[in-house]
Amino acid sequence: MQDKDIGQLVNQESFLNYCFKRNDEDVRYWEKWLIENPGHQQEVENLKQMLILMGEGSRKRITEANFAQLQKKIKRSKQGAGAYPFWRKWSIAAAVALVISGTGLLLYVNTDKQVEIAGNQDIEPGGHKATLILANGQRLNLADAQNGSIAKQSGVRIRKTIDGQIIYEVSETGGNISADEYNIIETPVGGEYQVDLPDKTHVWLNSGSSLRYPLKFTGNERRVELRGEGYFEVAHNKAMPFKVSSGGQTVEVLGTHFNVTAYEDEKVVKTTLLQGSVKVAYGDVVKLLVPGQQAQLTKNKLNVVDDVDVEDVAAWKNGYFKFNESLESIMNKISRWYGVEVVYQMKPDADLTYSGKISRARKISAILKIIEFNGDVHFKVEGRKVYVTK
Amino acid sequence: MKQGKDLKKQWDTFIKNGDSAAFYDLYAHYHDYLTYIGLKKGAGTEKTKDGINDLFLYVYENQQRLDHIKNHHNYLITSFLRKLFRKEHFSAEESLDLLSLPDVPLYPSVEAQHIREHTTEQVSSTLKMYIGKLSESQAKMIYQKFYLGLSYEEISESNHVTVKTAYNTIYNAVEKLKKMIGNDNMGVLAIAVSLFSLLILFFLKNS
Repeated sequence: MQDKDIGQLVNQESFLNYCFKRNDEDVRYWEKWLIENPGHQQEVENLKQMLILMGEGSRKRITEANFAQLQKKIKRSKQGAGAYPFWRKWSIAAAVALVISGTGLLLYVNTDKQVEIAGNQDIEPGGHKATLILANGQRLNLADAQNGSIAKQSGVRIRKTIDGQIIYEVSETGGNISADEYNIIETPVGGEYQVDLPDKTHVWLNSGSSLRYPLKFTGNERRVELRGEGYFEVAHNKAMPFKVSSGGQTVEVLGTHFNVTAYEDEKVVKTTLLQGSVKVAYGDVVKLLVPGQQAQLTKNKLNVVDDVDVEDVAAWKNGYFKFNESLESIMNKISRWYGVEVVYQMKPDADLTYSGKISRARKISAILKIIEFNGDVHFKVEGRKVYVTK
Repeated sequence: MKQGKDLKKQWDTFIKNGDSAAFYDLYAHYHDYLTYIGLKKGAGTEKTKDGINDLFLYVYENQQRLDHIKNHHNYLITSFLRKLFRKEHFSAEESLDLLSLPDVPLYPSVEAQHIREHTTEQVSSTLKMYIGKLSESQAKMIYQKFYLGLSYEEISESNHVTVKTAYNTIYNAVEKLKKMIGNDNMGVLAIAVSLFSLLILFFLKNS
């Protein structure tokens, strides 16, 4: 035993059992051996101590690495079509699951909460409403219009395909269209509409918004003006970049999917990119976005934010509300879609986050209930006013 | 020594408030035990890791709905095994076997804690750097061998290497660290530790 290479002891399970006190018999054996071989005591102690430290060190590394992977999974599920909302640690705890599908399946709901609706007047959600203003100033109510051709100007036919959508068909043999002929499609509060522009770009327009565009895209760029909120799926045309102006900024696109929020009553103009690439320009500041990023224009500053929840941003165009934000922010969206006025009878805490997901086809009480479940807030609907209290 | 049941406070804190620190504590604690069980049952390193992460992802996302769980320890173990179960198509017999698991205390012994507290700065930082430089599979095997206490056979199976590779990897890793730390530094720490162990030896001898 004298010439034993202490390092080799690592290969012996019994020795390791001694080091880590895993087996009484082994521990006794090796303690006895140490007493009989005092010359090796120091070396064995060194080795044992090192093994313990290696065990602890590797544990830390592996645990942290695996935890980091878990964090990535959590993040991904937050961004993907995850059914359950992401709860940040400072959001108020309440007793509910917040997945509400379009068919109205409510899970694990605490039914103690009641949204007060005065006089049984629950409020209907918004719908397919918009006004089309032609180049000659003529106004067409799209909700009332029949499916089919609704107008024809200078060789461009405008057709209502289904409820909620119009498309532009530019005929090859059309007459001369001057570059100054514009159309405007406008949605009221409580309205939404879709339009296929003359270049086949598809636009969803949210409530209280308007889009101004030429009857035919000519020249070396395709320029439109947006007020409010629009989701764009731009048709590819390298020769003619697509540009959206809103709130002082210009978003330049080659062919891609993105969302622009530019409501006048809000402090930030947000441009979120889902697919492709866009350039956002304000004055001489230009920012290039990659999918998942959001450009934010506040006062006179243009910033880019990473890792935005794109599902949250595009939810409206897919027919539902998905939110994870302050109360005021949500109430703004609700007020636009339901056409109600929000009256705050308490000061909303801008740091609190409310989460939820619900179809836009539901009546207002349904969504208010979900927000109430987040905790610390109560709603009362009277006529077209929503009162917010603690 | 902390047992799983002792983390009830962390569980309650997390379920009630979604507290991230509590969540991490739970994870760090159960990661050892669940890895141990998973590997012991032959699930392999990757599947075990995925099983643990899927379990905790579920817990994180369903924090609000889990407030009815009274015994979080049993819940976590059972859910974990069920997930692993489905993935590995365990037979019905094995399933019963799986549920009868010992409450293995894998937590730092008193001695290990003492060592950790008395390690010199130099040894600490050398060790940290060394561990960081190890390959992923080396670090995993060392964790499994020294911290979790799996046998060389179990390690070779879990990591899909030969038993010989398992032996060599561990041996080489130990030798390398020995060289890095050098004899001087080990000496300083060893004195503090030997005194402690000698005391224990003395105590045991005379009891």
